[in-house]
Amino acid sequence: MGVEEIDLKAEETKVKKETLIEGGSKLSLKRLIPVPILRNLLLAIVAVVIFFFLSGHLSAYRNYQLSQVGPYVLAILGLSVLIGQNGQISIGHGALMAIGAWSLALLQIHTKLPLGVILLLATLITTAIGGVLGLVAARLRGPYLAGATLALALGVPDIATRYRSLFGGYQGLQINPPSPPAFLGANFTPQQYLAVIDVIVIVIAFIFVANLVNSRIGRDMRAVRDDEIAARLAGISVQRTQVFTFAISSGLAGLGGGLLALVASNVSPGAFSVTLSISLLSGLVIGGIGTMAGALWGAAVMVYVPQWATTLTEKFNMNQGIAANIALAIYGILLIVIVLAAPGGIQGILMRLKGLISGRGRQRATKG
Amino acid sequence: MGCNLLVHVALFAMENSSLQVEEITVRFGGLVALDRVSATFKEREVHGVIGPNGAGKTTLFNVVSGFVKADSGKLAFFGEEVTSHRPEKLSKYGVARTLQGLGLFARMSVLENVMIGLTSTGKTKGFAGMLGFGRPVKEERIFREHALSKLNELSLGQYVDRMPPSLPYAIQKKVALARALVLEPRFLMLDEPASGLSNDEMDELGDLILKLSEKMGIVLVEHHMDLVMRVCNVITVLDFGRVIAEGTPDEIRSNPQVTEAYLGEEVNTN
Ligand SMILES: Nc1ncnc2c1ncn2[C@@H]1O[C@H](COP(=O)(O)OP(=O)(O)OP(=O)(O)O)[C@@H](O)[C@H]1O
Ligand SMILES: [Mg+2]
Repeated sequence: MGVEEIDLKAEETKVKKETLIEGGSKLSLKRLIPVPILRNLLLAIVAVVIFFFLSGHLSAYRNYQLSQVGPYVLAILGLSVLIGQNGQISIGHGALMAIGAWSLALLQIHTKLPLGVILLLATLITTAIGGVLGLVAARLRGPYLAGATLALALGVPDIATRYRSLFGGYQGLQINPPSPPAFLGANFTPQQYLAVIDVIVIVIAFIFVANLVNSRIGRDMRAVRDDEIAARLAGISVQRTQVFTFAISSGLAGLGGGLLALVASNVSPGAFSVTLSISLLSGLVIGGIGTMAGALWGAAVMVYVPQWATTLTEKFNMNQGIAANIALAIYGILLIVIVLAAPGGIQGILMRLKGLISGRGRQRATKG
Repeated sequence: MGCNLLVHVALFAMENSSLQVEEITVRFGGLVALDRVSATFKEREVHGVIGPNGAGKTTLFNVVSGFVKADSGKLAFFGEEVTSHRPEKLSKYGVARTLQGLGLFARMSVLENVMIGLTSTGKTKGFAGMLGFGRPVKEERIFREHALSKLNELSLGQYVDRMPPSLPYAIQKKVALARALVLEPRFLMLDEPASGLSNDEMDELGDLILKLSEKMGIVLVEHHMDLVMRVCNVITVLDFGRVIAEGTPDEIRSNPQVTEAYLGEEVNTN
């Protein structure tokens, strides 16, 4: 009965909804294929196939650059679930990436399991460790949680240097980059293979996260974020929800870490400094908190801004030190501008532009 | 003999359908917020709890809903003593509560706010929520339909996709009510539902409370005496954490102790 009416309303508030993680944008497709898993599978297959052919036209270097983005997409997506959906904070997601990376490296060195299984195991290991950490995190709020996760970011790389025989010390562990299976042909570069692996993993992760966010569990997460008292009255266990979210978020970061290990062919403490954790946080803010697409933009900024900065300094013959600082400066300026002018991040800006162009919901879009 | 049994059953049934607080005492440091407070809230009855600011009304609600543990005293729901109580369990007992203020989820749509009211009946467990087929999806559809019909029943259908902060206060209050009602509770506890409402809106709320009381028990904490006197069957008056009177609206109105407790306070406004 009221369903038609509601669909119309949904259309009206579309711009607003699209800035959320809810995926309300695919309304027409949603009606066409009402079962989420089928709809998402279709989108996923389309995305992977398109990228598969696209990557063939890119140079090995471009593919390598692209594959560097993937790990951060996953880690930022994890942060997005934690912060955007559940209202918890973490300045330690770099450390969780490290756990995933070392898990992958150790599994690759000591077992003969296929790559997919190793990635899955690395994810599960980090999820489990994240669950344990989540038990602590759920007892902490605000600055205390920030402090505790920061300690994690400081402590984990230290463990690697301390237990050298297992984790490889300062040099870390070397891993073999995955070589493309023969059926893909001789022209298929390892770089292209890495980029395709990235995209497949990201697409799978996005599907799982989208399902989660649109399920009762996702709604419970948001309820806990918005009002713990009211959430408890509705029968939601705040602690259980927070622990679960922390575990899922960690798992995503761990998966990202695993990918990072593959892309870098190496896992060493230097790659997982506190700077990484903080970059992930700012990547999240720059990309847009609370939107899944935001993770893509945030990760792209993390990878491409430093590289542009390097190109820039080379062009103007500046020295290496300046290059690093320019990247930081651009990053900082971006962050400040976005916090002040566009709290929705890059994704928010894009959504607004889209709203303006399509002319629909113009007032809403400018009101924000 | 048979007669005796009938009486027994009747007594048992009566006891079985009420929320009881017995001799509840709550201290916050040196402050005695509730002092041996007893009350029986019955089904299909509107039970007012009134008293000046700081009298302990919200604290009483907090004890019944499990947020505050009583230092002594007993709590019995439907004839069964409740020993280890937690707010998370309240909905399982068929008791719903609104919060003083709004307690809405500010960054969730009205529909989602009301769907949260159903969440305790959900069977989807953590990781299953990620699958996107089978039970989680079906459950979601049922929740949605349920919440929509409750929203329509309260004439909130046009607001389903709105965020609460963008709505007029009175509408937000109604959304909070919809969230409490969506599980069809046996008892509804309302903490100052009329605060911030206009006179017309308050009349409408009164009508609604009377209608709801045909189906459930209602415990009403409220400062607006017009509303309290109009809808309540029984009123308990608290002052400094103590019950100073209990009776029908007429009895309470003419009770000198009550007048004294309110002395200097504007009774009709908040
Ligand atoms: N968690 C708490 N810790 C310490 N003191 C508290 C706590 N909760 C309530 N109190 C105190 O207990 C007393 C009763 O408070 P309560 O909120 O129950 O009053 P109330 O009757 O609901 O008042 P109002 O009409 O203003 O809502 C007040 O003096 C209050 O300051
Ligand atoms: Mg109160």
